[in-house]
Amino acid sequence: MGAVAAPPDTLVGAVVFTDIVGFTEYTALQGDSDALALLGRQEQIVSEALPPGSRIVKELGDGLLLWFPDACDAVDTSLGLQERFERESTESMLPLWVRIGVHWGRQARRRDDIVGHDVNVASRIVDVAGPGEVVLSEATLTAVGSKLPTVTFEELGPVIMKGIPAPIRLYRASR
Amino acid sequence: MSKEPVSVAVDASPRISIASRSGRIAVVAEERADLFIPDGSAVDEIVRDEAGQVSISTRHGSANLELRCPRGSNVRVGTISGRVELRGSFGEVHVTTVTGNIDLDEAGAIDARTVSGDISVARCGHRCRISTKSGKAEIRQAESAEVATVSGKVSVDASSGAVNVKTASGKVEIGASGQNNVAVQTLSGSVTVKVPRGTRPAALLRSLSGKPRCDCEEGNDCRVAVSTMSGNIEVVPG
Repeated sequence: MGAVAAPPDTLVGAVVFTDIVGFTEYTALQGDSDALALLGRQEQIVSEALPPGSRIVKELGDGLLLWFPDACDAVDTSLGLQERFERESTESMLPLWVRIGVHWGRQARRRDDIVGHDVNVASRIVDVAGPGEVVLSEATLTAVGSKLPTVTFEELGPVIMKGIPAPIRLYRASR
Repeated sequence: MSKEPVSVAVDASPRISIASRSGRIAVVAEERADLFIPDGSAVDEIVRDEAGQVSISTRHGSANLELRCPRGSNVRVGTISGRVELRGSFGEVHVTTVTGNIDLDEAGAIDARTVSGDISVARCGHRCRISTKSGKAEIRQAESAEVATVSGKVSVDASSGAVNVKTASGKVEIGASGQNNVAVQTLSGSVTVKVPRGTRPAALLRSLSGKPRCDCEEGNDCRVAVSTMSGNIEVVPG
């Protein structure tokens, strides 16, 4: 028998997925060069907004996987990003129509990457968000508590997601 | 549960939450005081929490469910596939599905989102927010409307308040009040905004390769801001 695997190196934090809506259509219309510029702009804006301790884990096609040690930072930064994306989209013709999903939980570390059930849940949450929206799980809302008094959380209801056994209550954050 | 009908006592304007993986969900808001399910075998569990919310899950997560509730009920529905129909007059409505169509009669406020289904709203008293990736989004009347699609057609027949639309390639048709702002951002779909005759909109129309056109005399009655990469834009009296 082989050696018993050591318990995975785990983290507790907020996983944030971003996704550019209409990226495929934009690429088809404008070409690869403009598409790359759009991705670069998204990454630049996100990098500038990240608070200490948080990081871009990896790029995922037209989206990003981010990690935050603090739930309030994750929600607050996500809302700030949406404000910035909206300004940029309005002022230029750059369609930074980004949807954002946030989930608080435990993640297994795999070198620089993070994996696990809670990462999968976060990736499903972003599918529910529309462009310009920040949608988060009940676990995230519980971790935030009453520490973001200027943020409104609207319950979207029980959301059933493919591959996730139980319904999850999701909330739309705004300010 | 058995095939017998189920009746649950509820408060006035109750909060009802329905979770189901698949199967048609039909909710009727009518003149009654209870929550009534004609076929109890469609239901797995009914739970009433301390705050008075009634949560219903369907049998094995998959069943056709018909439910009748008091007018003004606040309803939340979560499902993956299967049509969602809400008939009658509701309070706040939230519906999330992946592939099913969503068909809503009337509500105070609406948030409806699907990935590939169509969404149709007859009347919304306040904010109507709908989102679909590839389905059609249709609002016949709303106080204000926020609509997002990727490739589906968007139509807002009449809105007395602000209208906000984002779509990648769907065609957009809006009937504006002429008193509130309209904002549309699209990549390639054509956009038509109709304003009441005599309205003088401030038209801010931007298209990289399409043709922007405003057939109204311009003024400051309302702001119509449309930007598109390649679609045509027209603002017309209607």
